[in-house]
This record gives sequence, structure tokens and C-alpha cells, in this order.
Amino acid sequence: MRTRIPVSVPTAAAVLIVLALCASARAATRVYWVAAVPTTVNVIPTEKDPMTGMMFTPAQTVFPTVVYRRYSPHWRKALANNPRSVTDGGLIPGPLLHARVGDRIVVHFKNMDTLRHDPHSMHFHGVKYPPSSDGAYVPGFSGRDADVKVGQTWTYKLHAVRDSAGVWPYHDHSMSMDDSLAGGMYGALSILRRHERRPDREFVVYFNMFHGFMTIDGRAFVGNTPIFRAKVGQLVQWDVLTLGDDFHTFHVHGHRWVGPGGVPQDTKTIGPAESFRVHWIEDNPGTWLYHCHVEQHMMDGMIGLYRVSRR
Amino acid sequence: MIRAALIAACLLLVPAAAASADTANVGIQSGAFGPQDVSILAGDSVSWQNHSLQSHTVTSRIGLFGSPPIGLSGNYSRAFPAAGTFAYYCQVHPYMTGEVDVYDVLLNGPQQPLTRGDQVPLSGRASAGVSTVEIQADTGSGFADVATAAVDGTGSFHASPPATVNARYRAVAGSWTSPEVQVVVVDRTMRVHASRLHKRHGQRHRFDLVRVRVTPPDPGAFVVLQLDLRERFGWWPSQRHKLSASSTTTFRVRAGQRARAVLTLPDGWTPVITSAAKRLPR
Repeated sequence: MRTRIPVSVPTAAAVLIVLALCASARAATRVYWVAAVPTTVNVIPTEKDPMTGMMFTPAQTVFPTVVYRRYSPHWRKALANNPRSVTDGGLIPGPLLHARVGDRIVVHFKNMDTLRHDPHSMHFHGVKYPPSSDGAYVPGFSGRDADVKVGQTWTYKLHAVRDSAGVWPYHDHSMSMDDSLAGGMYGALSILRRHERRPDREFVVYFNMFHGFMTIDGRAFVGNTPIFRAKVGQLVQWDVLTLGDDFHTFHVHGHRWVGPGGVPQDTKTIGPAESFRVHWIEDNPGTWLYHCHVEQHMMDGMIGLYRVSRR
Repeated sequence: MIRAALIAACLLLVPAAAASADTANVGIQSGAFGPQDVSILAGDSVSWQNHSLQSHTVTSRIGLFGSPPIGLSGNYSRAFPAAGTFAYYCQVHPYMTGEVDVYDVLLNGPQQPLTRGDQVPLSGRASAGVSTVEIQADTGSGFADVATAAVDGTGSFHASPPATVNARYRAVAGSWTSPEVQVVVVDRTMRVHASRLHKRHGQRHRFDLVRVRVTPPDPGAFVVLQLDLRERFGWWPSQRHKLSASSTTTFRVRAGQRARAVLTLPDGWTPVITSAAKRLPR
């Protein structure tokens, strides 16, 4: 026989809301499986710069390299690094690692570099971790976290603390760091505040020089760099990062965002290992350019298309 | 006998062809000349165009020539009347280097690999006075004559020897030898068949199937399906598959697109065979 508990409808609704809020406020543990793997990238898959008509050949644009790659648990199966909407399907940058403030992030890393047979590591910006998860090589001081040899693994344990909200780079910081950064071995962490609205569209723009080309996400020239897409009404978030030695100026045509102090911006400068994110509610349909506004960088490939449809 | 020898000597002395001069273009980017090395015929010119915002120079390593600073969209041209190797650099950015290689005979070959049984499309140009050139091939045991080509009134010549195996080709006229041309011959052929895929209930778009078969079997080789996309300004690698044990693969593609298949080297990018473009059924 069922017992009927006398609860009024408003009370029940309030309890449900509180329970839902508690659930959403609970910190999670985010687990990622990543490996350093050899691959072959083509900086200019169409073999041309449509702006100038300059043509290239695979001999000039195809390079073997080592990158970070997302895997299923225990590295059973290689996965796409990111949804196509985030980086256009390439393996540069590495997996975009998501978390919210308060979350624990566990990154299981394996070195599968059968190309250069170098040691590698993962070093994360913007989050809190013990020295054993720093991944930075210091002779005589650092441990296995900074010197993961081929075939070996290491687990990095990170904490997204209150001031971790934002977008941050991660990269190899082993003794192979120079070659790795030049070869595209880097990625991004995207950390939302505890109750921050998740964007409808998130785009990663990684400015870096690669084999003499000025690249976005490892590709150069319009038509080759990622084509980002959104619809009117969507909340879009651009994650902008760079490593290396150059400064860049991120610019999107036809759009503005609110910068520090409430000042509207449509261009923002970024230096080595810096990163930022900008948001807006999309309201301007069309096909737009985004690019680095350092003119020479733009002419050498740092330019792409952003397409906004009405619905 | 003496008369015949005199006639032969006159034929050698009289220019059989007056080669028409050509111009090779070299782009100047912010950090490099492209192409870095260029091969031309004696009498041809080279034109350098600056595509970068910085000024650059084209300066001979041994002081034979030198441009003034070339600004954005500016250019500099120079004729090279005699054969030789001419190294140059940019005085403003000395790490930018290039080379002009000037020959009395030039030979051009196919950029794409050929299928066994094809003809090798060779063409070239020779300096004034050359009436015929010998086409030689080296398949691994040294160069040997494979064809003779007549030089026409503009100095051009053509030859089409059969493609059998990988070979290096060169054109020879007396003591003059052209730079070598590498020709890759593959023994594979690729068949591409497109068919309509029945639209399932609730499906927003119509799809087609593109089936690819490579013979002789080459299981594990990469085949890339390329789509001709306006937003990519040309052919874009849409999907990459490995050939199955039966040397086939099938791509599922949005209907109505223009597509082609490319068998590549193991790097997954460098084309070996490219199929004809097909408009998929709508």
C-alpha cells in the first residue's frame, strides 16, 4: 500500500530547484587521455593562397611532426582532437580540455613519439598543481612528469581554482620543448566560472609560426585556416592563444566585444604564452574575415573565414 | 664527298631555330624567395615581385647584378644571356637566398605520377642553333637514348616516350645537357563510381556514395576524397580512408557536390593518382 506524503506543489518545485542547483554546483573530476603521436600535417591543403594566387606544392607544405592527440580511456583508440566546429578538424592544436572552476582535472599522458623518439611532457597554464604535475624540465630537480620517455606514461593532477576561469595554453616543457613547440605540440584549457553559461559555439585560434608560415591552428592562408561557423542569436566564444616569439593582434571583421573597463574592442594584442577569450551574442550574418592584424603575419597566412548564417 | 661535307657543315652553322625568350617569375615573401631556385634558358629573364611589406633586394653573390630596394608590389627584372649558375641574396635580410640556373637546353616533365603504359609528356626549349635534341632516360643503369626530338622555329621541342618504370630524363644537344627531370610511374589505376543513397525518413540532406577501387590491390593505402568548395577556393580534402583488404573504400558525401578521389603517398597528402572530377547525383 502506497503512503501519500502531503507536499504542496510550490514546495515540491522549490525542493527540485534547490536539488538541481546543488547538483550543478558540485565540482566534477574531468579525466582526459592524451598522447604525443607522430603525424603528417599539411599547412596549406589547397596548395594555394587565394588572395595572391601564389601556388605551393606538397613538398613545400607537408611536414612530419609530433602533436598531442586525444584518446579513449587507456589509449585504446585515437580520437579526433576536437569537434570540427572548434578547430576545423586538424590535429593542431591538441585536445581542448574543458572544466569549471572547482573541478579537478586529471590528464593521463603517454609518449608515443616514434618519429623523433624524444622525451615529452605536458605543462599547463592557469591551474593549480603540485610540482609533480608541473611537467617542466629542470636538470637535477624535476621528475618523471617532465621527462616522459617513449612508451612511458604520466598522470597530471590539476585543480581549476577560483582564478582559473578563462582560456589557458598547455604545451611540452620537457627538454624537447623547442622542437615540440615549433612542431605544433600545444593545446588549450577552457575553464568556465562555476555557473557561467556554456557558449553555443567555441572557436580556438592558435597563432603560431610553423615551418616559416604564419599559421592559425597549424594552417596558413584563407580557405586553409579554420572556417568557423555560427548562427544569429548564438553565444560565441573565441579562445585566442599564441606561443613562440611573436606578438599578434586578433581581429574579427564586423564584430565588437567588451574589453577591460567596459571599453568596446574589435582588436586585441597577444604575446607569447598569453591567452584570452572574448564573447558576443551573434547578430551579424555574413561571411567575415578574422586575422592577425600584424600586416606581415596576415600576408604570410594568419587569416581565415568566419561564416554567420541567419538561422 | 667534299661537297656533301660542306653542306653538312653549313647545316650545322645555320641557326635552325631562334629560341624565343621567356620570363620566369619569383615571388618575394617576408622571409624567402619562392621558388628559391629557378631554371631558365640562356636569353630568358627572371622577374622578382615583392609580396611583403618589407623592402628587399636581389643582389648577386659575386657582384654581377643588384637591384635597388624593392618595396611592396614592386618588381625587378633581369635577362640572363649566358649559361651558368647565379646565386643571389637579399642585402636587407641576408638569410634570404636564391639561385638562377641558366641552361642552353631545358626539359620539363609531368608533375604528377604517370600510370604504366602512358606516354611521358616531355617538352623543352633549346638555345638558337639547335635543330634536334636527344632525349635520354636513366632507369637505374645509366642514361641511354630513348627518343629524338626536332626543335621548331620557336626553339621548342616535344617528345612522348612510353612510361614503363620510374626514370630520370634529360635532353642532350651536342655538349649541352638539360637539368634532369624525375618521372614517377605507378602501376595502379583507380576506378571511381558514384551512386545515390536513398534518403532515410527524417534525414535533412540527401547523400551519395562514392566507391573507389584501386588495382592492382594496394590495401592500406590512403585515398582522399576531395570536394570542390567555394569557401575553400578549390579542392578540399574532405575525408581520408585507408583501402580495405579488397583495395576498395566507400565515401558517404552530401549529394550534388563536385568530387574527386586522390590516391596518396603514405604521408596522406602527396598525390599519386587523381581521378577525374565528378558531379555527384542530386
